[in-house]
Amino acid sequence: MDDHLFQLNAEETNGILIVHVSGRVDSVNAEQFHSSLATTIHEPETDLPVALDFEKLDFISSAGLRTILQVAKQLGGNQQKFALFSLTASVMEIFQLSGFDRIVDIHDSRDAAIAAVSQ
Amino acid sequence: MPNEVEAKILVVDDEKDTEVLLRQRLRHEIHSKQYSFSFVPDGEQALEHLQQHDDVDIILTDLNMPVMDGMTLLEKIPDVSPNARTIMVSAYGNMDNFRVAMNHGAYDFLSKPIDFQDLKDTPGRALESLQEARESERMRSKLDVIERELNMAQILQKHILPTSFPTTDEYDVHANMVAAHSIGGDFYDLFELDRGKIGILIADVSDKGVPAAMFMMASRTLLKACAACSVSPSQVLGQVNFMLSQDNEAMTFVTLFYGIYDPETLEFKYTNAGHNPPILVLPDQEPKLLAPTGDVALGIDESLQFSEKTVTLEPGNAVVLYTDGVSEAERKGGDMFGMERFIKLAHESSFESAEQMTDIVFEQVATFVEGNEQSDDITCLVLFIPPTGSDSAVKSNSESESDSADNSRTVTFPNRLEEIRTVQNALEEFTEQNELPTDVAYHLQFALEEIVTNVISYAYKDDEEHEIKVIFTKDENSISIEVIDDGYPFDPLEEAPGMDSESSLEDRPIGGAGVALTKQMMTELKYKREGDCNHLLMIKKF
Repeated sequence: MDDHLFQLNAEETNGILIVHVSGRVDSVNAEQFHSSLATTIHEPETDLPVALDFEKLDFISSAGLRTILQVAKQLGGNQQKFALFSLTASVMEIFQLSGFDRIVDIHDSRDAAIAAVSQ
Repeated sequence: MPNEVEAKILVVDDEKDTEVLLRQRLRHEIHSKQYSFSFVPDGEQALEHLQQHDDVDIILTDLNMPVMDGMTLLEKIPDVSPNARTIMVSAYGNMDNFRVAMNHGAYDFLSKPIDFQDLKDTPGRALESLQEARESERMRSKLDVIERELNMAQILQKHILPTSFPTTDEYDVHANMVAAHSIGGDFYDLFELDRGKIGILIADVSDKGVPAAMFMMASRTLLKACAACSVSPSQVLGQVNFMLSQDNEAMTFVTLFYGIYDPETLEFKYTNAGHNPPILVLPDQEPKLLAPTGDVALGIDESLQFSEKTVTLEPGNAVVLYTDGVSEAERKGGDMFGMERFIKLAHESSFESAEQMTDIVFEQVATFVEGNEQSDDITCLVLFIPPTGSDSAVKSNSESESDSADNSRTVTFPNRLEEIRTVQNALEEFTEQNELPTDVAYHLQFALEEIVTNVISYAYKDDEEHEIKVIFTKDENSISIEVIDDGYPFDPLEEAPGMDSESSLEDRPIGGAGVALTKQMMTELKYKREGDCNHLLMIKKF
């Protein structure tokens, strides 16, 4: 199946897990995305703060938004800081329209996100 | 998936290999507590086991065994475990035995050597049928309780609504609500505040029935208390949100508009927490929608800060607050009252009091729906600033559109989720060919996915393959997408899940937000049932 239309690449910088997300997340692959992201986030042995890089995320649908909200809640419950950064204008608009920009921590740049989650 | 409850399976077989095989092949299901197994070597021991354990869901039994064979066991099972489902297992080709077994009440059969996929599917199917049977049993006894609960909730809802309205020289307020049969959770309130100020609010709780009524009561009491302490709408909503969000396990939420009018300064200060934007009716001018303050519904996140905006009202102005029961009132065939009609109505009506305006709205909605059964509460509250001089004139300004299509494309695909890619790719090509702006293309992709996913998930009740047809059309300054399917009558604009109380926020398509977002992104959405097909038309102007 060609459902892997998203890609995740993780790196660890100064005790922060940065996950670069690219491609599209929609109803067809949201579940896959969720489990891949959960695996990536829980791979490090300690519970690191997590920042998702959305610069190369071209499209997210409501199913994808839900996944982000689930991850945010899970990490929140685990006292792990969580932020998104470098959203494209279109993806940012979806977060704004749904009001989720008020619920999930969103930053313009990688540096701002790192600063926010390392507090 | 049914992993909330571990399914208990009793395996009856004298061959030791079966146990090894099952434990091996279903180790994931066992590990994840989907299934738990017990093993006995013959029918007699099986009956003993069943007598001691009344919670066995599925019995997987061999036909040929010592002491008591499978067929004899099958006949005795109803006496000890009437609720269990029995699956017969025997050597391949023994069809006569299977037929007899099925006639004696076996639910299904598996042949030996056991097929790996069958082994996974069959207990799952049996379990589903078992759960369905239990569920329908439970529902029957619950139904009359629900009916009584609904009546009670309706009474609660009626009781909290103010029925007397202040009228002064400076302002005039009136409101009305007509509850739907399965109450939808609307309410309104007004507070006379210090220094002649008046606070008005309208709200819609995301839930229905008793949970909504309870949440409504809590919201309303908190609002009343907080409104008395502050003349800043954003502060009041911040406090109420903080309290509502705590211990809100069910993730019920309330969209709410709260505004305070100060007759001294003529200023109307408001906060809109995810509610429909009120209409500002101005004499001699087109009505306007009050700009959103960008706030989210109450009850979701306790840490949110709220903001407020101010408009200055003049004599003759009116602010019309309403819930989606008005804008989405529907007549037979699926036509909705819609904002365009509502705004036009507000513009063209002449009225001299808040009560008159309220009545006009309800009359017009009633005329529009032509007696169609109301699916949601209809609520409207009007704040009217009495004119000091003359009245407003009536102007009409209707838009006309040409609908000649100069570019159209049709795509058909089967109703499987992964097939969405076909139509997504086609839309991408179409938007590129027509050189549409990126944000328009994104909105179209988002809306298309939302509607098609809903159709695939909810419009079909069988396992047959169906064809979904999507037509893209480009007009001069708009794109329309029509989605046509031959499923059961299903209107994603109304029936997409999200407002049920059973699931948590995570399990919903974000509180119905997917469809709500689609409504925000598209200029117009229309559903109709024509012949045996659902037609959903989306129009995006740019």
